[in-house]
Amino acid sequence: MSFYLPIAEIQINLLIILFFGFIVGFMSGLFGVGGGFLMTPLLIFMGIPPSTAVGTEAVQILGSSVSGAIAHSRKKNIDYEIGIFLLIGGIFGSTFGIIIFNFLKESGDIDLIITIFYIVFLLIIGALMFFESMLSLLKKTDTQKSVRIKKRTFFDILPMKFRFRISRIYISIYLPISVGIFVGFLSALMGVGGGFVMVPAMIYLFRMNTVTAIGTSLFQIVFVTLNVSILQATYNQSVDLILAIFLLIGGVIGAQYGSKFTSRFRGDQIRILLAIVVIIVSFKMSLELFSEPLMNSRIIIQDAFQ
Amino acid sequence: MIKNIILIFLFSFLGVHKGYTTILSFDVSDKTIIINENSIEPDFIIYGYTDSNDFLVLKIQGPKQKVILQKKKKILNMWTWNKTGEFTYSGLSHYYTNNQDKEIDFEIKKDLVDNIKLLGKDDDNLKRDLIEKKRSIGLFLIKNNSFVKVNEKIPNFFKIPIKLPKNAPVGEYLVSMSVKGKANSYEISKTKIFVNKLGISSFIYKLAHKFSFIYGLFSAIIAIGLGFLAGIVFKKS
Repeated sequence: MSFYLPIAEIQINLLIILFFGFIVGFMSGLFGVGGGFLMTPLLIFMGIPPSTAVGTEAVQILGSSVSGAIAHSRKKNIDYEIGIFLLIGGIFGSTFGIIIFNFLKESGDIDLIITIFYIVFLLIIGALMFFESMLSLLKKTDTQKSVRIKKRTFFDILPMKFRFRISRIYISIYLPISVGIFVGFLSALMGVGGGFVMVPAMIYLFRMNTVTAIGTSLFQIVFVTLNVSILQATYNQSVDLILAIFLLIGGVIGAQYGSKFTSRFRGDQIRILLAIVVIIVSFKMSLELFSEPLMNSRIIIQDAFQ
Repeated sequence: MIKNIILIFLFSFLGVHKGYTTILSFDVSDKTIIINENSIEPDFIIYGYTDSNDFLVLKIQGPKQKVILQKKKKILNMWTWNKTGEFTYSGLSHYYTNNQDKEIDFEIKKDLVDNIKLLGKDDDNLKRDLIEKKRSIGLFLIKNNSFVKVNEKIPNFFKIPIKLPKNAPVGEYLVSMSVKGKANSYEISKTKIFVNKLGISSFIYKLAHKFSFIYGLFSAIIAIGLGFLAGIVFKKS
């Protein structure tokens, strides 16, 4: 099943791609996360150029988030009003991210930036998740209560306030637009959906309920990854469709099995497990950063005139 | 024998260069070449005839490409890449000679360097780096003593089996042959061939590089379609 990936420009066994897609899909189903921040590093470890890994992951996330978004839409778990503002920010952030990506790709620093972004984000997320879960495991605190506490913060004094009827919140539109910009930028540079930033932001900053936050985040992810996929393909030629299709197939099947195992673990146990996985990936990426590449130089084809 | 005489007769008329008595003519076995990734057989063969005792150089040039060359560099002990130059050149440059000679090799290398256009300030070191890189991946090649006699009885007939690398770019190629004498060198005949690759990999590569926006849209539609399908399949199960 060896196959030459035309954009990644490496020969790879498609069964390995399916297997890794399955593994990450399984973890996504088990931990309830999108999986983009696990899949992109894994692709880099497999020898896929970081820029191609990022572009391809956007397509894979687009495919895997569509069915989830439709399911949430049917259950009326999407707050379209907030979703639109998140989307405005997301489109702006992701388009800006692609411009930066293109510039960094030409200068040669894109691989370094992607890897540093991943190391920093994975380390922060992994550490926060680990300590939060450990505390919850030790103290048995009820996190749901802390969410409901309404303290007046800096975000409450922002102008352009708008009443969002579905979520029953009254916040400045700058808040979802800013979160959208940040997540869109991450999506373009890291090949992630950004749910791991958006969902906590919506719960803790916007004070939305968890289910609506997840549904709305999926709605935003579909359109932002659609924008990122098309822009990555158009301006950076970094989308490997073959790779994306096989990752998608493996991922979707894996997620179904992973979700069946969720009930066998407690929430805090699952989070500790995910935190450990995330921290290991972060350390592995750090090692890659300090190991010397085998090639002395490389060529990036920009245009072919025929 | 009669067939050979007819061929000699035909070639002697086809390849006479004005002002010189040298006869040199060639043709390719196929005008449209399909690169077969799994085959070790030659992709095509050059057949020719000459009465010249000079050095002969066959040059195959692929379609022009614009590329960026990046070299590895270290920042705070971390490895990254640094853009060192932007070039336009033929995506593939192969040279085949009938003999081996230092002067001819030097001329070929000079031709190689001259055909690389650096965007901005000219820098021979950068060109040398690029040539070294392209040679390491088989896209630049100088192969001496590659002319094979078709028949020992008629030593003037020759053939050159050509095997293009898997990473050879798709498009129109120029095949030309020159005589490199001590006193003068001149191109004597040339022809065009079209190189293509079959299979899904090649189709995707072409689509991604020539129609990038359509490719992006197509990728997105496929992904959304698969997402829908997965939703339906797993909803039922």
